[in-house]
Amino acid sequence: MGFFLVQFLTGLASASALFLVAAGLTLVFGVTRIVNFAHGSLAMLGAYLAWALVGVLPAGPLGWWGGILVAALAVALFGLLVEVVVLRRVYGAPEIFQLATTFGLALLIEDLVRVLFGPADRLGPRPPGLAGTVILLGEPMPTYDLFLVFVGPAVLGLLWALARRTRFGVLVRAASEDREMAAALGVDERRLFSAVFALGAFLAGLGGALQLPRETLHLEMDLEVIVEVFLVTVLGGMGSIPGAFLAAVLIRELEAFGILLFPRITLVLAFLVMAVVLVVRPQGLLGETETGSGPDPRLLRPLRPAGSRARLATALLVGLLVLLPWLVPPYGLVLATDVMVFALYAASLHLLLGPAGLVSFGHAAYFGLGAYGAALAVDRLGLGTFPALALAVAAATLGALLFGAVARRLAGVYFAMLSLAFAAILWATAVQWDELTGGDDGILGVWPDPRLSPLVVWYELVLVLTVLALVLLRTLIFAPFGLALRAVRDHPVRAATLGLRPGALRVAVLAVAGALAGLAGGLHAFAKGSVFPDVLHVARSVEGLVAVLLGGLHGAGAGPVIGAAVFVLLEDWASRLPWWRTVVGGTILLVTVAMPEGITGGLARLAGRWRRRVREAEG
Amino acid sequence: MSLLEVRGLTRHYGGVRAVHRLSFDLAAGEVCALIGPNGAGKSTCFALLSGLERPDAGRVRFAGTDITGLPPQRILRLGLARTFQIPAVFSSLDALDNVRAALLARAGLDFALLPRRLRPLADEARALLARVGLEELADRPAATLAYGDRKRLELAMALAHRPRLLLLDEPTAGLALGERFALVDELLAIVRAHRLAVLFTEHDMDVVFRIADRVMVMDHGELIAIGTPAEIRAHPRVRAVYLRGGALDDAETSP
Repeated sequence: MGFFLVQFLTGLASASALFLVAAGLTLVFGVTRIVNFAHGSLAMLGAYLAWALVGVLPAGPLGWWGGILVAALAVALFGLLVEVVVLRRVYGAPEIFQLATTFGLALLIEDLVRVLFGPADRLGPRPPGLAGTVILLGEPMPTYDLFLVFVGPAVLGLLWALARRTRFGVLVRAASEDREMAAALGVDERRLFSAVFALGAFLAGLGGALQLPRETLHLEMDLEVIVEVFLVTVLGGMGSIPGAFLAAVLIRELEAFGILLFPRITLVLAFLVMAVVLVVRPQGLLGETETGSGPDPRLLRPLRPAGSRARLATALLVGLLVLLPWLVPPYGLVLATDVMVFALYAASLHLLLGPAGLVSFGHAAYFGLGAYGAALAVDRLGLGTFPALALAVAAATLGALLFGAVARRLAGVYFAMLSLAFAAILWATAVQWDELTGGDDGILGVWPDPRLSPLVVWYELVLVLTVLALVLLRTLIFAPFGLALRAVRDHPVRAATLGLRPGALRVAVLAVAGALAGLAGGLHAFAKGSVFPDVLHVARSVEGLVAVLLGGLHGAGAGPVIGAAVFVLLEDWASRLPWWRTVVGGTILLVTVAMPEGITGGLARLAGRWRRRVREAEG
Repeated sequence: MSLLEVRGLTRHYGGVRAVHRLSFDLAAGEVCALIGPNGAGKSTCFALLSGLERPDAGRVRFAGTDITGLPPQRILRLGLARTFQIPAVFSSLDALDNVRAALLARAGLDFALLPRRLRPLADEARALLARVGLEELADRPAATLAYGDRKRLELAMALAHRPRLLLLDEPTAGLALGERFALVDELLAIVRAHRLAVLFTEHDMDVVFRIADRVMVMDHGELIAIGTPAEIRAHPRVRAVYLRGGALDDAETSP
């Protein structure tokens, strides 16, 4: 009995810290409609700052609590800075740019924490006075955990009082419920947004800092925290603080007891519970409305089939690529293979982000399923290259169908957050299930059949498969299926009342994009000769996203290929730097804030200007 | 037999009775107006009839089929199409593709994977655009069309399914006075030519009395009057709802 009580209370204790962070995210979302991917990074920053401050300040309760509080305040100040310098510029932008911007911030903050506090793991002391344990029904429980049990409800109560009893709270509620009305009533939106973001950052910092005595601090905390926070806020309903509390308790209790039954798959369990809830209530437990802004008209002009000149240029480029082995040294060929595999991956993601308008932040899920599918087919089943690639495609397609079944009714940010969580769970599974995947040691010796393994042969095979896949993608986009997808993206309700089936179309396009990403993953496995969990890592998802945004969302396939080429070459150079996160994060910010049309969009605009000038000169 | 039979249709949002025990009939080829002050429940009524919302209670029969709670796609296939108050078009597609997207669903081609399957739909799409006077603008992105033209485009998309009943949510809202009557007259010509039944909401009483065979009045989610335009104009409760009856007295009688 005592054991279960302590298990239950421990669940509540960790729910408290999780709730604090989640409340910050959901509060910021409610007012600004921005999902802050860097929110977990703010929690990590709070935890590290608290660790440093508690170490410096004089020992004793005042020093400890002072350290926690000052850390949270410092994170609030940092949040304010970020809001003013960066986020203000993307409030009017489409969701995907907002999400990508905060993703870039997360990368920058991770490098910042690494510089300030070093790469080593850190463990903080317990607060004086709460360092011991109490005995509950014969079982020991840390006093600090018992204290934390009360923190969650207390903060929930304070936030409730803030919302109901203060002028600030009234403004926040007004802005959450009806932005235009609030603006019409004379609410100063800029100051309100800044204040809310600072409060959200404070809660994140506090939530992170309070974990100090319970958890080892490490540099992947940001990702761990954000995945759990996403699960909690989606489950509770975006914008609902009581919903976040309820969901945090639910998920933590599920883990506390799930770990007794299925020690390995507690995250999977949480995901399954969320899947069930979202099928019944797509807006989450206590959420009210689904969210989703329309597409950005700047990016989504009508698609036109390529002209004869563009076709000729493409044919010439493909011809050149066929002859490439006789034109460049072997290392160039390896790099070119990487570019093509990555272009295939980016193009499959572009199908979701562009024509289908599905903001996927977990595309690595399908890439990774493909890579592991191929590797296991070779390693365990002893299959040849082509059957292994077929298995890669099948595994990824199956994963996409599974995700589609859960997410097909979800709009905008919900879809984005759930896709990130899905990929993160697959990554955690790959790391933990080492009997199957080899864990962090990966699967080695995944080489193509001997007749395919010479560099030139392999390169030509990848070229053929990539070109075929890209032609297929382009055909689909201009086919009735693609037209229906674009219609559903532009106006799902309208599409449904015209007889199109948004849900079925979304599942179908996920399957197609998943299949091609799986093919890319399979080719990647053979090209490298090995597979590690990093094929499923969130960084892989972000890389695809950056390539697509670099290339431009508009169009039917050329953009992601160009974006992928630029990105692989950039990364080939940057990966030798210790600062690659800063380089990649900075690139994301540059693209989302300054160059929303990407490279192809920018080129098209320049070409248009040039053509006009020529015409003017002639006329 | 009536084309549309609505019996006891009810939808509440929390404590708000958006639509409460609504019952009425609509005959084939009949043009019927649904009027009432803002918040009377007109839009909810449309959402319930077109399948975007599910009723809490009540039944809807359309052309002999019970369509209560069916998804919008099924209701559409039976011949009940709608337009929206703010024209709902596909902004990134050109006008022709907007109509083709509508035709796709009817032809069951929405999962077809070859671009050439779109070609046979072009002629019918152009004919539909011509019917609403948009043939010249077929290549223009919908986002760049004028407001009135977007309303016309929406109408063409609704007609793509060869409906027997059209639900029009404020067909003339946001249009200038001259344009309003031009659109209404075109609309009436199309409706008469195809013997379509129309149920429309409208704030402009001139438009209502110009084209409606019958008028229904809602207030606070309930139907408070139903009758010919002349009867409605004289109805005491309707006059009370429409503040001193001014709006009704000023309206002309339809020819």
